Amino acid sequence: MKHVIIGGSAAGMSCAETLRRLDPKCEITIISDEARPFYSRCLTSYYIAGKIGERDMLLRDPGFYEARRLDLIMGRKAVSVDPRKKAVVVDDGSEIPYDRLLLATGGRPKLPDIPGAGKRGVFTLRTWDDAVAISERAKTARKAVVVGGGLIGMKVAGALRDAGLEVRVVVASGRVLSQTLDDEAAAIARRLLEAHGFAVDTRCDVVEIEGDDEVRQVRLQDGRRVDADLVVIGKGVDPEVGLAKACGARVGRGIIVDEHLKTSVPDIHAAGDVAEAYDMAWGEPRVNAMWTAATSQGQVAAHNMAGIPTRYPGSVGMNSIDICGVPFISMGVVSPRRDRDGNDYVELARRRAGNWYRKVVLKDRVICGAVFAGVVDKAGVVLALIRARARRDDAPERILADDFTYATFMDVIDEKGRYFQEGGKRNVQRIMQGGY
Amino acid sequence: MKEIFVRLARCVGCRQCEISCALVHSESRDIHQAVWERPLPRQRVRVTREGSEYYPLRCFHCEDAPCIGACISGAMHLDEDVGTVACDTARCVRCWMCVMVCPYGSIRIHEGQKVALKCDRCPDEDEPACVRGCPTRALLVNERALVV
Ligand SMILES: Cc1cc2nc3c(=O)[nH]c(=O)nc-3n(C[C@H](O)[C@H](O)[C@H](O)COP(=O)(O)OP(=O)(O)OC[C@H]3O[C@@H](n4cnc5c(N)ncnc54)[C@H](O)[C@@H]3O)c2cc1C
Ligand code: SF4
Ligand code: SF4
Repeated sequence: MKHVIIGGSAAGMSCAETLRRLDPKCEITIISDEARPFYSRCLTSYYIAGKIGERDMLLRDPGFYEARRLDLIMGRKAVSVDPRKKAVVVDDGSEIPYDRLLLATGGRPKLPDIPGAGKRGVFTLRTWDDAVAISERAKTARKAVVVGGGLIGMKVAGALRDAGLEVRVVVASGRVLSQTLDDEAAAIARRLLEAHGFAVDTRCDVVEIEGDDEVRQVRLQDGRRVDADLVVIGKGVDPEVGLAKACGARVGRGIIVDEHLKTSVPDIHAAGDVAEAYDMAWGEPRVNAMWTAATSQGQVAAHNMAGIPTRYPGSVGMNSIDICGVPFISMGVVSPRRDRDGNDYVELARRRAGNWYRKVVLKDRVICGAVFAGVVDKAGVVLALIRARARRDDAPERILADDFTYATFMDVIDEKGRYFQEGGKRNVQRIMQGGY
Repeated sequence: MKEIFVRLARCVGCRQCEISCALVHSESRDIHQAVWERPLPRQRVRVTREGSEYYPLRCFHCEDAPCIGACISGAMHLDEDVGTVACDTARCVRCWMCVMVCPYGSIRIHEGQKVALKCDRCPDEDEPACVRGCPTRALLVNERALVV
């Protein structure tokens, strides 16, 4: 069996490793257009901050690919897929045949057409190379403007600040982290940012980036001009669906996959940031661009590619971010879309002194979302509850009162099967039965 | 491969396992000195009460552990020699992705060092500290094959 994987990051590598574990004999080829072995994209902001060095960016030891007999084609782009010939064409003209193909091409930063965005000193952050370029610039730059208040914008803002720059964040919506947090938590985040010396402009946009060759100033929507010698644009990510579209696969926002992570084209699977798979909290397919989903989808796709039918139960969109030393976690349905079906949702929230905030969102009395600020340590139990989609009428109150542990909900959490927790489940049964 | 088992019926909620765990993970490993350490040594097993029962909760060292799949830095990893899920705290970047996905709430945030803290099943001890400390033998270590 010959497996070909396009994209050698979280989804692609977890698929490759799982395939090797399941089938010691198969052939595995990974095509990656980045000229670097497997590294953590999520650490790029830590790299800019100077908290992580070259060595720690890499997620596998040298020699890893040879030891598992993974054939890595680095620095080469797959330019097309021919599903009839079952072959991938690479940019050097070579053709690589496959029996099963995984599209793990991830995403690409959106580039809004702001005039002047092509000037030197203007960046997006997706790759290690981007991070190298930004940190190089940050050595001499003094004032940074971050366009976009999403997760990546926030991470870059924090990193540049750690690197010693003055940082202004310009956000189009009315709050920071608008996709991730609800109003209350976003207000806490904003207060923290401002207290730590970040300038934050909401309901504002950068309309032009000015300077000759290099950025010198940005012009804001309200007419203000602010000095800047480094600009990072973080306006979201688009799934890299080009190859899939061209070979006739069904594509929505991402590549549409079934519960076995198969695309609409035979023998082609998709996983990670590029895939639009089932979301358990919303109950519909969504692109959940996050490391955890990419690794578990890679594993499930590998099983199916190896001929072991395995269902992907779905993911829950979630995020964890540290703002000025305060942890925030959000998961599932955080701000129900009021316009469409908001009436079905119930939101219960509690605020305590300091930065403590917590919210649960229910639909049909079942928890489908939660927000934590300040204290996050049992968030995973709530995630398990969301994934179990079980009704427990005492759950909201106990979660909001911070009076719960896994033991509180274990009957409902462990009843429903969860694909990747077999070991844990067996252990729990053992607890319940009392060992011997 | 040895594992820690719990006989729930025997647990009386005395929290000796918590104390033993905190102590074995302290600098001095001496109870009289450990209480003065800052940050305070922290236990990785927690006894909670639910109704009339006590549950000593700790990391289950899951197969296909969600915390490993979620870890963005490679800190959380499978120690293949002993079969435990271990955290290399030097690589931990404090993103709390692992905390977000552990269904058992087994990972704590160390207040002082701010790193992910969890059961390491005492790699340097003959017997895990919690097991040694448990006066009712509610906790015990055995080969998986012998118990299941
Ligand atoms: C700065 C930053 C911080 C982040 N922080 C977090 C975090 O803290 N937690 C979290 O859960 N997630 C985080 N993410 C998101 C996380 O990085 C992604 O969800 C994850 O990398 C997705 O993995 P993937 O394998 O699906 O795609 P990607 O990591 O995007 O990998 C796809 C790979 O395919 C390559 N490729 C694309 N097209 C082709 C082609 N035609 N031929 C060959 N190769 C191709 C790409 O160059 C890339 O190397 C962060 C992302 C960024 C940018
Ligand atoms: S920390 Fe949680 S998820 Fe990770 S192995 Fe332990 S119990 Fe499983
Ligand atoms: S907090 Fe540390 S161990 Fe946990 S996921 Fe983040 S880097 Fe990994």
